[in-house]
Amino acid sequence: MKSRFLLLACALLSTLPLRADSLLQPNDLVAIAGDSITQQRIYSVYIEDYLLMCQPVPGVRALQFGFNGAPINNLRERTPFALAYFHPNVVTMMYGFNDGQYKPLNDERAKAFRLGTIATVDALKKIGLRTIIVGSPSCADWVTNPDGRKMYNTTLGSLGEISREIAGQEGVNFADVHNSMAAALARGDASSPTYTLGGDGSHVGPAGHLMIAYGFLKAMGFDGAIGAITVDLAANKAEGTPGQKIISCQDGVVEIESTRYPFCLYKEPNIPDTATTLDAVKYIPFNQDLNRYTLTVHGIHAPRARVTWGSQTREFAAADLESGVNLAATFTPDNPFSAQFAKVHAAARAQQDQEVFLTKEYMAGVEGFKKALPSQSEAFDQLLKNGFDQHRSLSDAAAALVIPIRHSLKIEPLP
Amino acid sequence: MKFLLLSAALLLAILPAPSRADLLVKPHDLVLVSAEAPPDSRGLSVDIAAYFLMCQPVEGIQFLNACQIYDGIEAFMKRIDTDIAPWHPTVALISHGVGDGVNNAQSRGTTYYIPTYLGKTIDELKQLSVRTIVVGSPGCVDSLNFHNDHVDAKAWNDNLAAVRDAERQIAAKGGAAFADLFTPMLDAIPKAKALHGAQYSFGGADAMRPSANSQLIMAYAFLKSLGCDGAIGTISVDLAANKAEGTPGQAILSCQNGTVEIESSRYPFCFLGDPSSPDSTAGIFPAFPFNDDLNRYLLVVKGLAAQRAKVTWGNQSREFAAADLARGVNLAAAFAAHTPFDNQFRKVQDAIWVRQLQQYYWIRDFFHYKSDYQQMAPDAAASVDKISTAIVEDNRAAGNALAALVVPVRHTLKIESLP
Repeated sequence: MKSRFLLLACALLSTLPLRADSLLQPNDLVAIAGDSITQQRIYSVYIEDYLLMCQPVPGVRALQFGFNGAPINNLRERTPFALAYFHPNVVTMMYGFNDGQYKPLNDERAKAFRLGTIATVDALKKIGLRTIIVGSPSCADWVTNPDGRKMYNTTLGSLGEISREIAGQEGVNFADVHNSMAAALARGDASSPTYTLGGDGSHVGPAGHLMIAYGFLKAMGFDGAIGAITVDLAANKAEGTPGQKIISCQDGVVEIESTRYPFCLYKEPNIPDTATTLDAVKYIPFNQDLNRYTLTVHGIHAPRARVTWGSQTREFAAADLESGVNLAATFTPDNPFSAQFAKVHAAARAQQDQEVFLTKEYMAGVEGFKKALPSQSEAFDQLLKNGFDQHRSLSDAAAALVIPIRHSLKIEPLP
Repeated sequence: MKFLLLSAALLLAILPAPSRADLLVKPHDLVLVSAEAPPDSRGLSVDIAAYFLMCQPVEGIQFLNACQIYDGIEAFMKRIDTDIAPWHPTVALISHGVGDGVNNAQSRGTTYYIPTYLGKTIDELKQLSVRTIVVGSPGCVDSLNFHNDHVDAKAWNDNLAAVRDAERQIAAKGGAAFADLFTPMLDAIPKAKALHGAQYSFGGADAMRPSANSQLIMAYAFLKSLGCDGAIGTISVDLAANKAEGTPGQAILSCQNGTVEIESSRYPFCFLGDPSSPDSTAGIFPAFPFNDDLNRYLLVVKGLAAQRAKVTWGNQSREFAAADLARGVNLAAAFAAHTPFDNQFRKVQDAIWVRQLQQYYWIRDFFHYKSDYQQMAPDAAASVDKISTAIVEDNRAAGNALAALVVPVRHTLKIESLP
């Protein structure tokens, strides 16, 4: 009985949000491992965006480590010879879609997933990972096959529970991607009969990936307090939290220089509206939990006020401004950070594009190459070194793009 | 003096035969073989290499296996730069199009893929300084495992015949030679099924992955188009005079009382494996004229005093009419799958296969990713070039070593008159 309580306590502890600094430390490398959904390089880039721009821990970098078609054991196999080369400190892992084999879960597949997950966590510990975050698998959104979708999400949910249980047993962290995504999907389905996360339903579009990123970022313990600007109109004074430097404040106009950005949400061409990140935040509390960029205004002597931020204007009740409004949620899809956020995002994507071939193909083959052509061992090693150098260079380039952004807030009481 | 003459004769017999003027391959050629076939099988690329190393040897000849399954002509053309160019082939044997979008009464291969891409493919190969190009038509499909939502195997084959005809015209226009792989395969299938049963298959689980039997027919068509005459060797025995003669590559060591000892540096092509298996060449040769056209290893016996004779070759015996022996019997056919050459042929063939597997791995895992290497490490172009050159040089050295495995085989023929 006692051990049951202990087990339960462990499982609960693994799901509790911890403070960011308890999971990520300066100069950490966060490896984001998974199957083809990870190799899509969408949620993995969102995580990197967040780490670089929103709640930056100095020197933290990300590495995408997806492998299309991979079951859980793929990570175990690649850990000693490929993942270990990078010396990551933190790993997120999301497997199950291939382990379930697109069928109802049976004992054999459940057992294989369980043993594979335990062995993989063990392999990760052996190479010195400080923080391991086991994620439950994402959801299927097969809009043309609702029965199949229901069946497979049951399978994925069960695999997710196995992941949760093992994370507790192994004393590692757990990210409940599946259940939070399933809840969001249910809300989306309720909103419209044509609701879709886009893509092919397994490899979903940006909305689904933001839901996955949400699960992992929450598990990393981020508190979502990106920044707060507090303005006292009467005193012509403003204050900013760390990363939000007040340059000036005069007559309701506040100029700020920011090194921490809110997470920017976009509409995107050529995909259904419901598949965008802008739409996803209707169904997951991303802005509330992870993306609070707050403006608080005191001393408005009117019932309402107009706030102009960059080129956009919104109106608020004075009471809301008094208690604080989330600019990241209300100034979408365009705010003064959007353009630079997009540049960093593109650079992070370029870095992760390079990682696909480096981690999947070359690192998988290089030992075989050296064996087949020993005379060129040094050249193959040099090529690997060049690949690492290029990876570092692309990672540095993405980080270097996170420059301070100057922007202005203009607050005008409305009659 | 007698010893010197014997040595000289042996030396001449062992050296590769001089290339015939009408043979399209030349000494030191690198012959590219690319067809829609599993690249890791012992298939046509191994068969063709085996033929030119052992049966009709050409000095210094090398082979490159670049086969791929489901590799239409467009896909092949698009991988010439990455997969083929680094090796610098001088001869190209290509056969693509069996799966090129035959999805209705008229083939997309005929109407679009072949006209659009075959001419360009020939041009691209010429730009690589490929001297001789042989365009092989696609083979045919076996109805046994053929599945398609739109047409049956017969309709598909009708379309492939049209693809063949289109390819023949485009090859001629581009100055390339042509090999009809389709017709001998279509003819052989019913004959082979008559021998081995209706379940004897061609083309694997979906009829699109030619197995060893199909690939020997493909090799046959290419070898014919290259000008191979099939005259591997002839042993002529005069029983009355106790004398025997061999053509080049067949050195007579002794001849006494109907027993002839021979040392051969040219081997007949050997058929190995389980005859009932499609993954073997041993079951298919009776169904098409491989032995007649490409594998004539003849025994001619004169001076037989009886109507019939027993010939023992290695550990096998066959009986022949004296008249047939006087005209010449083809030992390669009569003793097929049980000849004194089989073991050594298998050793050389194994070594060829291992070499070609390595080529396939280099192409699949290294050369094919040229642009990915540029993205992975833009500063490493020199390393990539250095490795590429080393792979090709290593392959050439290993290819030369294959020829050394073709050692002279000693064997004995015993001819006994039957009462």
